Amino acid sequence: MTCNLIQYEIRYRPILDFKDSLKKVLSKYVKFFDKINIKDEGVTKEQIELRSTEESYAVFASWQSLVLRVDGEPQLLQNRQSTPVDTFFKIFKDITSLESFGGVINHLCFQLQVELNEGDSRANSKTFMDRFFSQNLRNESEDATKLLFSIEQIKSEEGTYKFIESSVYDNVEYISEKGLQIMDAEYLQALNSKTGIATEVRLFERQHDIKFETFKNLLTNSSRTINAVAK
Amino acid sequence: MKDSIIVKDSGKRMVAEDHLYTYDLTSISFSEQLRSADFVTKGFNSKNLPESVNQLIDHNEIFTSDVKRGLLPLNQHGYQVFEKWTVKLNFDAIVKDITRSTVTCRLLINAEDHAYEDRVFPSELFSAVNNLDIDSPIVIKIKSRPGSTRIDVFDGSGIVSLEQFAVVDNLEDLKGSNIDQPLNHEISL
Repeated sequence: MTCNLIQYEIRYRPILDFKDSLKKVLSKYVKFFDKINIKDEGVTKEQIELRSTEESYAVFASWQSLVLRVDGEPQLLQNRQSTPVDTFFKIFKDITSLESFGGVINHLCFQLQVELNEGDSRANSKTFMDRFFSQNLRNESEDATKLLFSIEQIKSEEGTYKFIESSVYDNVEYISEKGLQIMDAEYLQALNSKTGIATEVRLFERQHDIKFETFKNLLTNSSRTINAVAK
Repeated sequence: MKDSIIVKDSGKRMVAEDHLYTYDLTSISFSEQLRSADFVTKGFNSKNLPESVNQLIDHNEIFTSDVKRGLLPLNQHGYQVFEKWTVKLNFDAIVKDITRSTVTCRLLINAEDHAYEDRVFPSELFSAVNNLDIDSPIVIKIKSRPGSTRIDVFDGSGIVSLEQFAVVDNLEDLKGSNIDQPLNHEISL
């Protein structure tokens, strides 16, 4: 089983009157969700979370960013009519229509893929070492459960950033240490009981014009990178 | 293309020294390149990066504030087991016809291709929509999994843009105008 935890974020210039305007925008969409969380209410970093537990996705809105968190197959998000995507982009469109909206600065995509299997940590440790490490390193480190590798690529002129990390997945603390909460019940059960190999990709792009296609391209890029690493 | 490749110990042990290695991130033989590489470093040091890069990327800011949002610990709130739907889709729609037992809606099936479909639903699905009338905006949520489908209907006021349906109405006005017939005779301008 493969679990995919995805986060997409659009960052915009701070909306100073967000307390009133943003809440007004979000109120229309509350009926699509079953949970509302408000964090740091009354201060500038106030964040409103609308979560659909049944559909395993959440939208976080703050004065300077709109975030979509989804547990599920990235391919399903390639469809413009997909529930999480449709709702997210409707909210985003409403935000961009606000008089006080000052424009988008950049966008980011985070994807964590955990390939779970029936093997134990030791078996996955061997698979991980064989997949990524040269013979010299394999001889040096017999147990790879504590190892990870990460790669960063920064292109300052183009305003892009790429980060890849992979390691053995041996327990659910791996997810909680990243501050992520698992929303999908099936994922939670599997991630609590099995081990495997985790691969994480983060993509950042300076971008001022965000549309569904822009999101789709970033997500495609992220999935392609993950598949290349996990191959 | 120069990139920093890091292999580090997430526990206590360090593995090797800092090193830079050149490779192609887009290559599909990525893992093969890694395997054969004589790399390994003990960690990423942002001080080695050009200043312009550090200005672009604040490593403490990227993703940390949102991914690490301090959410509640796992398992403390007893996850409820819900039905697992494999496909979840939203459609903007407007009401085209209402009868005693059915409501016909025009659905925007694909916003990118401007594809529309008229579909008939049981009227009881619309009982929660206030002031249901012809041209009322509606959001239809369809979830499915093998052997099962669920339809949820919501009032789309303030959410559904009616402009996106105007195109279809304009096309309907052209029905019977023979605009789709080939031009097989001379015309005077």
